[in-house]
Amino acid sequence: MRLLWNKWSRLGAALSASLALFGLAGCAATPQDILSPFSPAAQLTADLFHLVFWISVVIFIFVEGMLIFFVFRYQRRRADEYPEQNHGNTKLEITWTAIPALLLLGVFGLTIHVMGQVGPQFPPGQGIPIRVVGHQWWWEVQYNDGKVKYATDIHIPAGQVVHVELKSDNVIHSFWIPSLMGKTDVVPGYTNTTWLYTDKVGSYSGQCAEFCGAQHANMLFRVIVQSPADFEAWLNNVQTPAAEPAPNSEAARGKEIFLNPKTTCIGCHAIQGTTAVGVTGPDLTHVASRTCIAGCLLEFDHANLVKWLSNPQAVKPGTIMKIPQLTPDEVNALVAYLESLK
Amino acid sequence: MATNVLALPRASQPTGLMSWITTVDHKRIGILYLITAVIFFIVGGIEALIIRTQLAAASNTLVGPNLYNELFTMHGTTMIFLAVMPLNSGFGNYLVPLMIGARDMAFPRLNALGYWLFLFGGLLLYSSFLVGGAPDAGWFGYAPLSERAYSPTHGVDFWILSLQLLGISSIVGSLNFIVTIINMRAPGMTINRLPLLVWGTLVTSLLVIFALPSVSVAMFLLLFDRVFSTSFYLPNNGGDPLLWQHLFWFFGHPEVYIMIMPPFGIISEILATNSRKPIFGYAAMAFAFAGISFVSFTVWAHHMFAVGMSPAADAVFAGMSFVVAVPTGIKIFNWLATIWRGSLRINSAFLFAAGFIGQFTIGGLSGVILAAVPVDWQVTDTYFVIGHFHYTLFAGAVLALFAGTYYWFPKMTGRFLNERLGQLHFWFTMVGMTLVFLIMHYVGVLGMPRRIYTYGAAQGWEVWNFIETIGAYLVAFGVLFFVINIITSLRHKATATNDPWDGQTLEWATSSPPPAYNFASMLPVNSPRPLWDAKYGPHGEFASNPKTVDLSGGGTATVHLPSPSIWPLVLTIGLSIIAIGIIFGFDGGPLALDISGMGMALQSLPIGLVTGIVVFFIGLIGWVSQPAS
Repeated sequence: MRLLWNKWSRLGAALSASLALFGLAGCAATPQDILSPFSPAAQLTADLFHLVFWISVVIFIFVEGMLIFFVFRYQRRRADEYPEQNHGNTKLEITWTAIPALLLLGVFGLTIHVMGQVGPQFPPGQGIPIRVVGHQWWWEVQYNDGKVKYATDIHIPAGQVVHVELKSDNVIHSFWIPSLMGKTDVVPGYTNTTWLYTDKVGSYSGQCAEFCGAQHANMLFRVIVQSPADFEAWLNNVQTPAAEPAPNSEAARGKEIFLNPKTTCIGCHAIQGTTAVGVTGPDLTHVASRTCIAGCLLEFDHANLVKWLSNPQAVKPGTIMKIPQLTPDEVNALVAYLESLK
Repeated sequence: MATNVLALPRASQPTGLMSWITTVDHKRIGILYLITAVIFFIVGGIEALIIRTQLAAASNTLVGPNLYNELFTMHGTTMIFLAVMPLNSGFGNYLVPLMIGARDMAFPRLNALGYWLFLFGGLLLYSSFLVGGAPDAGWFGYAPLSERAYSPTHGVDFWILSLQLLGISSIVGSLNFIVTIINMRAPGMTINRLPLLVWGTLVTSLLVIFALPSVSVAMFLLLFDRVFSTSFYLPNNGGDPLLWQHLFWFFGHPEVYIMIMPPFGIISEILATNSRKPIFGYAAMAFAFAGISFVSFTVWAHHMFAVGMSPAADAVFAGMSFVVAVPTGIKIFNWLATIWRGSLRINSAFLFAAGFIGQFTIGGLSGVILAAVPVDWQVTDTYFVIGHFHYTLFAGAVLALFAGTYYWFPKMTGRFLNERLGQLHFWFTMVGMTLVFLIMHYVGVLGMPRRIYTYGAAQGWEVWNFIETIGAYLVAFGVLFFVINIITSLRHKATATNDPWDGQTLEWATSSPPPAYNFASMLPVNSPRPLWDAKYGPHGEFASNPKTVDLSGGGTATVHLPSPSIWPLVLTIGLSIIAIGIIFGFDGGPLALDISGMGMALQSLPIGLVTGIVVFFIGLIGWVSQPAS
């Protein structure tokens, strides 16, 4: 009897746990929740999920109910019991083949239907083109056919379709903003495309979803959806060359340190309007207008910049940013310069 | 199969270490497989615990990114190739000849070769930890991340070559199963009277034969890229990274069924015996095995919905993936109907089998959710997928293998496993796995990608990961009870009779453990349940007074058996040296002999490779010149 009780309590616990879990989904503070959609595509996908999920729950309860009922009902009472030797029942077997098959056919039809609405191959209209490039381990975004290069923050206008071209020259990454759009892989040698559309202004977190090496976990990004006017203003700003620091300021000293080959900064980074033209790392022309650094592992603020430049390998072990140890003085000057690059 | 005893010498079972090293007895090889695989299962489990401990807290620093990547690569590779597959091979080796009434496998020495390749493949893989780093590109080894430019240690080379050894092991094992099952059945045991475990093993073996060459080729191409600077998967030189994915998953998806179908067979045997009923809908079950196998070759690209295939391809692979759910559903319902109105003996084996039905259903249903392509675009490569496939491979394969251990342990050792520890094992496993794997589904829905060594607290995943980790430790405690149970039970007296569970198939008609020659005589086979027919009558005529059956000949019959052989081991050592010779024999490695002064096109000679080839051929010559009898 104890055995029976355990069985029931297990089912009860499992069921209530799973229902509670999925019930909570809507209100938890989880920025990458696929069931808190902020775009029509994510909404349709979440609806499809809910539908298939609840069908599954019904089947689950049916199967577990039978299992548990049978296990209790048909326990052996006497050692010499000889149950009826039932070898099968064609009608019954056809039934439990046909019903799931029909159900699955329905789900398949719906799947095809939703694919046509949210698939990366089916953008809902003409839109502005951007290019997103996956690097180890940060995201680059290019506007105006590569004339503007920016990193980690992907600005897009609300209410407009954005066509995204996906490129990689290293390993495979996957471009994913859970609350806006499903994944599309970024495959070297291929040019995949996807699209984004939402009319809700805000900042949405995204993350590389294909294992891409040591710092795959910290290859994060943000999609910043702005009103078309704000977006236009932002785009105009980032097209200009970098701000020149005031003479003799700490920032000016920082610029000198940055451009000094000994610090190796210019080996990888470019700053438009200066002699820094590296291509391996993010373009820093307007780095101070970004919300985050280090593949979006850290917020863009003074303390984090100091932390990052003092020892990048300690912050993000394995990062390709391998620089000579800088003095605190050099770090402060560099940070002052970077903070001036609005 | 022979119905009378042959009067030939050499029936005694030799003992001692050499007798195990040279054994060609399918039962001993089966036990070697099982013990080795359980050890690797524990190692893979420890890796899982380290992974779970790292993820229990946000921004944890228990292990760094490189070690973490090695750990999850080794966890996946170990559990698939060194635990579940060889556990299946172990049960198959031990049970298939017994269940079909044969005295051994068709090719006893090939059988030994399969085991030694498995052992040495596993040792080769793990030796990478000692010499420069374990593989770190994931068990799926996606190129170009697995190319030398992005994974410069020898880890991936070890991974490729040990998996090639394991691949040969699987292929020879499967060929042996196919020939054995086709040719060595007892008189009257037609194909449609095979016990379902045997049928499942036959179907699985065919899957291995057709699926494995794809990944073997894929891995050789990757090896050439890494060692000889070809560029099969490097786009800058005209290669194609997606080629790897297609070749890999053309194997990788059938592989899932390679792992799960023998367990389906195990469950079928246990439920029938513990219900005292035949399996419900035997023909439908058998067709479901075959149907799943066939369809499994047409769904591989459902692992690739996000790579940018055409909508038509996505739709076809989604459709076929839904199709797989139908025969799987048939199985679930037939198992339920098997226990329906049965006379259920509730013991550890049955609990694990029933737990399998309950939990595996979740894995099947979450698989249907994943086949809905738009949903897959959201949850693929998240913890939802990890939850899903652990519900198929842990709740499916591993629970069934636990069930099989409780069920056949008395047959293999003559001793029962302790019921109390067995039930503790069961409940810890059930509660623990629900906490780990059900919550993984949820964390995946919350957007947690897989293969990340850390995450920020702001993501809101921490509390769920912490609970998962507690669950993982509960599962580990369950396994601890299991291991203690095995060790302590082996010290007890052998009390198991021939047929402790009132079985239906032939392995229960001989002694526990069986004599070296399995059977001295054979029963007539007129159904999938020859022993049941003999005990109770084909139509239950003797139900009130069942007969007892003993085909062991008292363990003293003199039956001629194949000679022991050292050559499978020598052959394996040769192949292992070849593997090491390839890893370290090029690009100035320690096994490259400098011959640049000799005026030849070659600058160095891979001496390890050459030595290995010599040993391999010595083994081959020894093998063919040893009389087969």
